[in-house]
Amino acid sequence: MKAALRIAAFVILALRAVDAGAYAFEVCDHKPVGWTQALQLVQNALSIPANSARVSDYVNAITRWNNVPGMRQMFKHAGITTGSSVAVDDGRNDVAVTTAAEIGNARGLTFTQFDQFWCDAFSDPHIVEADVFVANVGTFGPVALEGLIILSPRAVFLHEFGHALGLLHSEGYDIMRSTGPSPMVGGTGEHVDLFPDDTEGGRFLYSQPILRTNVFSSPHRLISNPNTIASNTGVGPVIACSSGGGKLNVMATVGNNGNFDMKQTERWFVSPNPKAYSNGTIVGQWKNSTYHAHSATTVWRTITLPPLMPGMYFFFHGVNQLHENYEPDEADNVAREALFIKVVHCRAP
Amino acid sequence: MCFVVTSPARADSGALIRTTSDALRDAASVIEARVTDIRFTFDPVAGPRTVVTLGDIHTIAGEDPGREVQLATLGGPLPNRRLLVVSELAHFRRDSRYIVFLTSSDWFFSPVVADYAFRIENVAGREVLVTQSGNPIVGVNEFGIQVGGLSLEPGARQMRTRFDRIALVEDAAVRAERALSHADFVGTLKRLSATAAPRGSFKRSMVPGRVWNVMRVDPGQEGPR
Repeated sequence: MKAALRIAAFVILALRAVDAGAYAFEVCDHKPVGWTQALQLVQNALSIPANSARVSDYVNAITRWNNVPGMRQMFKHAGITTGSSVAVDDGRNDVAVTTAAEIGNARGLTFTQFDQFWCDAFSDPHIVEADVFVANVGTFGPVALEGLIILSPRAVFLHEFGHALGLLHSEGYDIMRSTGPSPMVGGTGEHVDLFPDDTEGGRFLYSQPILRTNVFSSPHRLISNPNTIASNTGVGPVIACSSGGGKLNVMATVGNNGNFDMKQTERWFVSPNPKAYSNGTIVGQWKNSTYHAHSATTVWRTITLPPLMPGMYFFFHGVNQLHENYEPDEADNVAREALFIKVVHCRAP
Repeated sequence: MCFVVTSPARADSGALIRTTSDALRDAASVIEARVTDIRFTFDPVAGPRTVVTLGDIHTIAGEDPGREVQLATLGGPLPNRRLLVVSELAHFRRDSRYIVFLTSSDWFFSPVVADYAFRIENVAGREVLVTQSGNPIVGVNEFGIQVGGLSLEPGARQMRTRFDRIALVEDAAVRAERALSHADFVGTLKRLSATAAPRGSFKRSMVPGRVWNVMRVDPGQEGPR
């Protein structure tokens, strides 16, 4: 009961699901056009050296796509080349880093070859080669913060690998956006990841009927119209009295990359420690909220802050906090929002 | 309002294009034109090219490119009957009208500035502009192009009609409700080009000395992670 008292009351003001199914692909009549088997990727080790930040981005792209719940593992690392150039018409699926100038000052470019250029009632075209190039622009390697970053090379790898699979641009809550910034997932693990529209697109093209679970919290939301990615909260800081009782209106975004609905418990908590992903002071809880498979949802909450010691606090939001559901990856369950809360002594009225 | 247009990957331009002003400065001219023909060529050096002919040209800003312009974009049928598609390049459809930024930079992949080729669609009697993804344009300023939330095109794109006019989704009128009118879009581009003026001449031919299927890599310089 005491614990319950420490959990501040909150009110649900609104619930808004991001439009799902916003992925695009090619079809020949009604048949989706993709690969018949996994892509054997060939890493250019001169431009993506071993033990480098670049190879970390390359591996992350493979891992993220291969870990899509209910989707076949479509990328296999099949070897390396070491040359200073790469051929895009040699039957190999090369992956390399180039200068931006080499690819027309783009951030990335994917050359995709289909086994036939026509489509009619009797044809069944497939992708047979994909060569991926990422420009040497920006900082390679993991993105340390959950802030809004315009196009890290890590995100470009993930985006171009989506093209290699046969996905086209779609301006949703996804990595296949052609307009930046890309959203990121929260947590202590990888922030540059796939989102429900990406994973649903991957599953649509390469489904594997296995039940998998993955919900995540993100500090970013999709603004549908006008279309862009933005932080759930402002930076603040908002000022709160140490005696508690202050109301906080915030948004929280949750995605479900799995292939079945998940009922779970969400929590909001604060901490002076920016890395307190698992041990902050709980300020709000919502039990039994359900997030549907292949969806991302942004919710409004009004949270009543409990008494807190004066100081600056980071603000966190977590899903599946009581571990009601087993997830292979729980590192993305808690997002640190952009918001700062400044708690001060207030004079009695 | 938040204007964002920087994309994961776009070609072809003389520099990284982050804003509408960047795109205007990289352009020789901004034109409105109709796709009168699309054909395909192959050359061992230039590679497969989709050659789009633009006619009925009206110059919005910059140099007048004349009565007809051809855009030879990398991609198209190969001699072995395969099809090459290059992501991020501007794509055109027959019998459709576009507003196109023609580059003044040397180019190899496409003579269009980044993906600044916007199709004009008539939706419920209104002329609006859509991006390469089919999203309606709802705003434009010096910082970027602002797009609406939902594409007017179906998610499943027909390979058979890849170069033909596209059938919009049934509720296109609703999705395009907040779209800028064609007149407003053009008016804003003209105003912006007064301060970020297109300059130079449209480079009709690709830069020589490159072979289409050979890409130089950038040796990794940074240390271990």
